[in-house]
Amino acid sequence: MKAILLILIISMFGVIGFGVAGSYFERKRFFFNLLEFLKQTKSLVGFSSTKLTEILNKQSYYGDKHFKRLIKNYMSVLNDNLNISLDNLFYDITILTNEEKQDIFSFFKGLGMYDQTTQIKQIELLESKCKHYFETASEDAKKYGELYSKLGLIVGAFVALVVF
Amino acid sequence: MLKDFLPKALSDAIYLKNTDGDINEIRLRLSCPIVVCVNLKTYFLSSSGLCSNPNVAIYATRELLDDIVFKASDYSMYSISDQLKQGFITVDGGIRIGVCGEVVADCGEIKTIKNISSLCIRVPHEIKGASKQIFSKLINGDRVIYNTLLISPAGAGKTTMLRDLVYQFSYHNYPYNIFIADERGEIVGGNKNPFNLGYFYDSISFVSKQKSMLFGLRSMSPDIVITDEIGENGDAEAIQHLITCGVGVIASVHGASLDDVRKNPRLSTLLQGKYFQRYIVLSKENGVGTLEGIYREDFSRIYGGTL
Repeated sequence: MKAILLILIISMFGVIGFGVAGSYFERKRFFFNLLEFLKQTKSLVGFSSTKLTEILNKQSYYGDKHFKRLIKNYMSVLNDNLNISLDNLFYDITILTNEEKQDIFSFFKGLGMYDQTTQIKQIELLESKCKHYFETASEDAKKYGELYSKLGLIVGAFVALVVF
Repeated sequence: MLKDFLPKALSDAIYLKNTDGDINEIRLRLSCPIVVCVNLKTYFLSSSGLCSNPNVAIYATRELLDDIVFKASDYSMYSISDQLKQGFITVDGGIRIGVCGEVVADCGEIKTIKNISSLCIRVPHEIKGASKQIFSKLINGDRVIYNTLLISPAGAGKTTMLRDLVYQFSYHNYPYNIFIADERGEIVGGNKNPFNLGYFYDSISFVSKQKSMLFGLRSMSPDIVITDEIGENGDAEAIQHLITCGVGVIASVHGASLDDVRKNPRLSTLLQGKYFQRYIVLSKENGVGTLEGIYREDFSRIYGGTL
């Protein structure tokens, strides 16, 4: 019985640790997917002037849940003829900072409104910012992600020791 | 089709008493009431449908014009910049939107149009059998077609007639390989909702007629090339080349009469050289697509009225 409780306490704190660490990994995945999307969009716009809806429809099937949510939100804005805002673009997305949101918002606000050359410049602008965000998110995932995962297990073990 | 790019309030008002099939064109001019042309009659558009009173009509605003163009581009202005330079956009389904505004030019070359002030939305029609009356006149007894020039003023049914001619070849089981040089994407109607043009056609869109006709000759070995609204530099040379290569040509041109076309300096080589063997003149006299006359290569009349 004691052993089961011991495992239960350690697992519980472990899960909390992984949960906290998860947001760091999610941020890393989000920026990775956003970068991939930007690269693909740049080549499709530059090479074949592929329509935005076609690009977005393909993208909505790939990526992590936050990235898919972002694309879905943007498509809802277009389809429902809404004015794009921070609230409707980032609805249900909680892992981004205000600065990151602002940069992504500025990009989506002007997406599709320029000629080919200007549109590619806009994509490259966000691409360079996203590279920086991705590097930071990767470092954070490595540093804090692993730290919180391990910390969860250690705290769990400590609590188990104190209890028993 | 119109619903794809018109704001809901506008398309609801248009469709309140009409169907897509009746509408010829919609004209939006900045700060002016919206005009809808149905069966060649002109109306204003109000929130309760078509009307004749401009005071109750919906007025076009800058936002409305910009919004229509942005939606018509499928939210991708970069994809229509080449079309915009020529003053029009073609939406899927063959709807052509003419655009007016301030031209942005660089060293004399048009880059884009900004501050859009007018839109002319022309709704295409697919009328099966529209060319029935003329189809038999284009076929020589031994299944060879006459090189033909369709002449009509704007909105008199040239493109509808060409579209149906392509279909009639399939319908009458003439297995000609037809190549459509569709510079504005109006004949075929796009990829999503193409018109039913039969089984024997290939097409290329959104490139100059001159280039696409020669492209078609090289790549698709056509028996017949069909193209719309000739008259630009290089069109006559390309058609001459096709005909001398043994390819049949059916083309259309703007003009109210054969006499008008004979005065067109860009077509003089074709007319004087008797490259076209048949001239067909259409008008709006008794409705769109009224057949005014059919003429031989020497301009003698086969059917219809005077020159």
